[in-house]
Amino acid sequence: MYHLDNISQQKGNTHILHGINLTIDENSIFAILGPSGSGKTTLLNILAGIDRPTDGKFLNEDGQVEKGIMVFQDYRLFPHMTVFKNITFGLKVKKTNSSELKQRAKDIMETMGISELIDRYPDELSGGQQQRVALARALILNLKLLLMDEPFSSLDEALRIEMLDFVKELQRKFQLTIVFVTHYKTEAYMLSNKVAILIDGQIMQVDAPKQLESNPQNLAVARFLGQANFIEGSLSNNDFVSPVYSGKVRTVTEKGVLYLPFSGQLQLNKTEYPAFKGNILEKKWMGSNLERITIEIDQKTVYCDLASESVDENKTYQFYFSKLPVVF
Amino acid sequence: MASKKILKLLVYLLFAVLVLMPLFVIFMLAISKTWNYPSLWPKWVDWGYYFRFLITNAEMQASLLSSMELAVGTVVLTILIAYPTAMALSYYDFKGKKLLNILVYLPMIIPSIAVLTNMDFIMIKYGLNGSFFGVVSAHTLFCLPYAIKLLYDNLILWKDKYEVTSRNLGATPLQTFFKVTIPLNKNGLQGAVMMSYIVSMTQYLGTLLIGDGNYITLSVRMFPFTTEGKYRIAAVYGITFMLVTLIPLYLIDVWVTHKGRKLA
Repeated sequence: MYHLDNISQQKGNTHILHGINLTIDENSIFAILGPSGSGKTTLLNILAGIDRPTDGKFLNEDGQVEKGIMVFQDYRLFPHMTVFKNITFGLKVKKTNSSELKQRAKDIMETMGISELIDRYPDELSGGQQQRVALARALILNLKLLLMDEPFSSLDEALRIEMLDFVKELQRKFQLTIVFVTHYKTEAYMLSNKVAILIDGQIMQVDAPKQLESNPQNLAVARFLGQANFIEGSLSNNDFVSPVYSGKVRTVTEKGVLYLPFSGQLQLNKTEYPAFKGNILEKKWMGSNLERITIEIDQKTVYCDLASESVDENKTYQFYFSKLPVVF
Repeated sequence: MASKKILKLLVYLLFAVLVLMPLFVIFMLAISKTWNYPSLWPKWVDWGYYFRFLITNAEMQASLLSSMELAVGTVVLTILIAYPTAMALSYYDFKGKKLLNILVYLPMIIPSIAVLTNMDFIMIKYGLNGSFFGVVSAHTLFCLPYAIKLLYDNLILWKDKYEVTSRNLGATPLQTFFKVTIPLNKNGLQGAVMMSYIVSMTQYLGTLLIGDGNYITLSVRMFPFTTEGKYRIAAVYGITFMLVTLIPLYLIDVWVTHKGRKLA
């Protein structure tokens, strides 16, 4: 278990991180998800020992200060070195003997499927190949903690999914603890089953992806995760009033914003929580047998994802909540 | 198309004449025995004169040695000061950065006679006038703006991102400097070394003033010959001067171009 113990970072008058407390299980993949400028890279730099926090510590299970090896967003392969020299850089500076160095390089290059690139320079490699070399350069050090900064953001869609699976496979094979930061929630959900949401330098929520989507802890998290309707209204004693819905709600904070995620909250099957009657304006096919429905209620529009062919356009339907809706 | 080619050729030709003509005149002066006005070409040419002069003239050899010693010392001292300064200016934000940026260029802005007179005063105060270190420091002062600018322009290309990577992979600061910073900054370093070497070689006033006559370099010895009209000897010094400047520069260039990967 790794512990982030009250980590704060301040540069000049700007507070970048505010007392971050987290525990990260060993041999797992942990995602830190947040919008641009939320302090994700700063936090990762602290875990890598690149930046020193103004307050707090990053400790391992034995209570010692820990430092992870980083795979950077732009890979940062040394441009004046071949793939072989890049990969063996960490061993070379530790004065590892030549035969061991060569053997370990051979093994890791085989694992990463980059043996044929041994004499190439970084500018002769594709984005995917560069990432594999960057991973090899870190993994050759027999590390325990691997840090990845926006690892897949510069890869195209197909390669991104391939690399996601590959990183998962590496994590299992080398029994690594991987901490990675991203602003793509699908990336975080696909790679990790524990995600921390970092907004404005604060950890807002740490949860499994499904829990995050269904139960965001505050409006900032809900708005960041997106894919939801935010309906403004007034609130008194768990009774919400708005043009779209008026009735009982579960109050989390008292800002008076009704949170209706596109999927999972609205349905046509009757429940004990009637929502509203609405006219179907438009249907858009979303793939995987899903349609995004645009519903008009009293000149306001609400979106929701339903199974294909559940509704027809220009017809009015009664909608229900699957559970008591939340108001922030 | 053809007229464009001719124009291009003419520009090249003009450039060649402007650059090569003075060199040609110096070369001819060095090998001519008699070349008086209004003759277009020398009447008598002695191809061996230059080499005989170079081998037998003790003053010339002493000047050559003196120039090279000072140039090497200046290059070393300049790089020792310029490298950390350029790194600080390109990698870090700190209070007084703008002021330091201006201070770096001061030796180029303030008239050199003013700088050197004051420097001489300081050198006398600390007993450094006439010493090797004193003269090298005077040369270094004029090399620093060029060296810092050339190193800075190259370092700013990548900032410290590869150094950070190297440190994260376990390298010490020294290992990082020699394995990452210098190889990536080879072109900037080449420029800084070359410029410092040339500036030191051509320093006349600084060498005379701070050196107290202890260092009679090529440029110091050449100057009176030119003013007194002894063009032949001045030309021999001129050619030697060019050779000891151009040969090391060529060697450094070959080393930078052929060793390792060509980088920005």
